[in-house]
Amino acid sequence: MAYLAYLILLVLLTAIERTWPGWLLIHDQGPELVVAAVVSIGLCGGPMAGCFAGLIGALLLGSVESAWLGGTFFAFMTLGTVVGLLRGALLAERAPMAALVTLAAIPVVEVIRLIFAAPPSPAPWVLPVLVAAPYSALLALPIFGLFRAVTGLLAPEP
Amino acid sequence: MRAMHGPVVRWEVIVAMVVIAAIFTWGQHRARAVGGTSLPERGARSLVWPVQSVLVGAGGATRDVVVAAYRGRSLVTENEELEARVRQLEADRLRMVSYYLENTAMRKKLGWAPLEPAPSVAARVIDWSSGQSRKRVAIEANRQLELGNIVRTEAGLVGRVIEAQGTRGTVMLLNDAESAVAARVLREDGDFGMVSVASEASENRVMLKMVPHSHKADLRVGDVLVSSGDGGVYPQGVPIGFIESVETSAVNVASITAYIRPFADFEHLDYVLVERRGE
Repeated sequence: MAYLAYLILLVLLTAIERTWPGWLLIHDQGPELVVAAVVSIGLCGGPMAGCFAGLIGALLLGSVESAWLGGTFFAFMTLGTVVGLLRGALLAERAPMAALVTLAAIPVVEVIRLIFAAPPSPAPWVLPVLVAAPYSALLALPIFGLFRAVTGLLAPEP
Repeated sequence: MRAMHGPVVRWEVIVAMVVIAAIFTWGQHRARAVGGTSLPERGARSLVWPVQSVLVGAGGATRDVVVAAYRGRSLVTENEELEARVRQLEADRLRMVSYYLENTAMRKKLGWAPLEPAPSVAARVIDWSSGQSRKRVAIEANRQLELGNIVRTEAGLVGRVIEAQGTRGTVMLLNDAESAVAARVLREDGDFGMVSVASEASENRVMLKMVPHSHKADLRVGDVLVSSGDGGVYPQGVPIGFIESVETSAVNVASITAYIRPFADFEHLDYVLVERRGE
């Protein structure tokens, strides 16, 4: 049931990311809500949930962006699984941690996607990432709260 | 207490998901090789695009309310100015109707085929892809879209539908790195050439360029370019833009490039018109 809720929320967040209002863009760049969601699900639900979120998030975002799926799958699924594996050991299940991990994850995810589908000139790529990382980290706080509530409600501890 | 326990990992499930991702990736490559879209991509879009459609509509309504509340006073003045402008345009339109009727009667006398404008439907833009070289938008119309449908605004050509999924589809814009339009200068004996995105484009620079077929081409600043219809991808006569500057290569005088400012505003595409290619 929790996985169905994750799926619905990922669809919603993908749509919000892709229709982010123009007046909220910073240097023509909006936040990467799907990455923040994958991090949050990994932190709340563990490696399996993180991997699932990476799979679904990459499929939704890659399809809507008409991007190549291979690099997106690799980046998002690795991120979700690794965050899930480090949960409880290195990463505390707290909102500030979700923001910090998102801040670090966005450049990593973008580098991986860049390697899989390199643009003609990578220089203009730097500024959007520098804007998107802190912007997404800020929004990771409410997103993490949302996923923690959903996980607590639908997948309670035994 | 969850954070204190190490996560229970079922690796077989994770491996299964990796295999699914690999299959989806393989399916996408296979579909793209024949110019199509894979089934998982279509499924994902059919989930996300309706939500985007609702969000775009709701966002527009919210923006209208906020603007009305914020600029209530100036909107009254603006409205009066617009009403005056509408009256002027209505007078112009009536004059154009008389010209049109005159033109139709003359074409009939000369035995020429009637010149009818292509029927088009309005479509709303619901997604903007802002990659460096991939310039695409997703649109939603009130009729089925087809591959190859021409997309334009009242001002000029915007692009064409490259992926259609019911009433929604993806449009490749003229400033996409893969786009090329056969064009001609709108003058008597105007030269022909190919219009594509200018790789030198920046925020302060025009976005398109035309490379003429002939090295003796006569391209002048201010010339209007329309689609020539060559190749059959775009119909002829759709306005593209005007020439803002003409450059001759320093090393090869036969190499001429015209830089074009498009009529359509690619930065603010909210609504577009969709025409069938054959119409």
